[in-house]
Amino acid sequence: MKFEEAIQKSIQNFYDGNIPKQLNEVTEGGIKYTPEWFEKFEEGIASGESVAEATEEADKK
Amino acid sequence: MINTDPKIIDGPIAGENLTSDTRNYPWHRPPDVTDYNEVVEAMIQDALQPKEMNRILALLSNEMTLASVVDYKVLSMLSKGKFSLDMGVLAAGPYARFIEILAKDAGIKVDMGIDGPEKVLTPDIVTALTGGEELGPYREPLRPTGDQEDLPTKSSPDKPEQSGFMTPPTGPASDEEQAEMLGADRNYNFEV
Repeated sequence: MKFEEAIQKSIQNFYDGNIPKQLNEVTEGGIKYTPEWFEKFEEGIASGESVAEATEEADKK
Repeated sequence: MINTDPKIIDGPIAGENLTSDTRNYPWHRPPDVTDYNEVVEAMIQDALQPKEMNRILALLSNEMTLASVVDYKVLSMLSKGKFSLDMGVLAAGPYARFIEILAKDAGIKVDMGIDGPEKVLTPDIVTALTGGEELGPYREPLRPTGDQEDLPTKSSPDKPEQSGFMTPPTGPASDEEQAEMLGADRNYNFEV
């Protein structure tokens, strides 16, 4: 597999909601940037919040 | 027995490889960031730099796929030793999603580029990035527009003419000047 293909596959997996289980276990405090986090972030951006505000809101939820 | 062959000293000394500095390249050193959340955070913060964000949005609005942009960014940060290769591939998904959200907010239609082959930077895309003009060996500097057209330019007659040793010639030298350059006014006497 080429590097570009690995990147494409990684993006596809993330959009499909697949996150490596072991990665969640070894990451201190759990994975922060999940698809759910980005949904909240997108909602904030769509409602006119700045990136900083949307990030802060997504961090809370 | 003495070896007089000079070629033998050209080879490396036994164990010389152990003395070389392995910190020559960033990817030879341990990565700066090893935590997954911190890797994604570093990529997001990098993308939020105005210059970088403008570059990314310009690429996406000129037929570059999101996957290609992510590919370039991961390789770029990888080459600087920010994170390991595995972590870069893992962080590609969140980074792509982040860029997609901001690109949509900027009104750019994003081509994900996940299914098809990777799009590479072609001269056409570079031409588009440079304002739709073809790049040549020399480009005239941008001229003022609108109300600024009356400002004196290089060819404006109001501008005082510059003269000096390094000033480019405006035309061929006069016959007298050429004759002087050829030494016509000097009377050399080569007779001994």
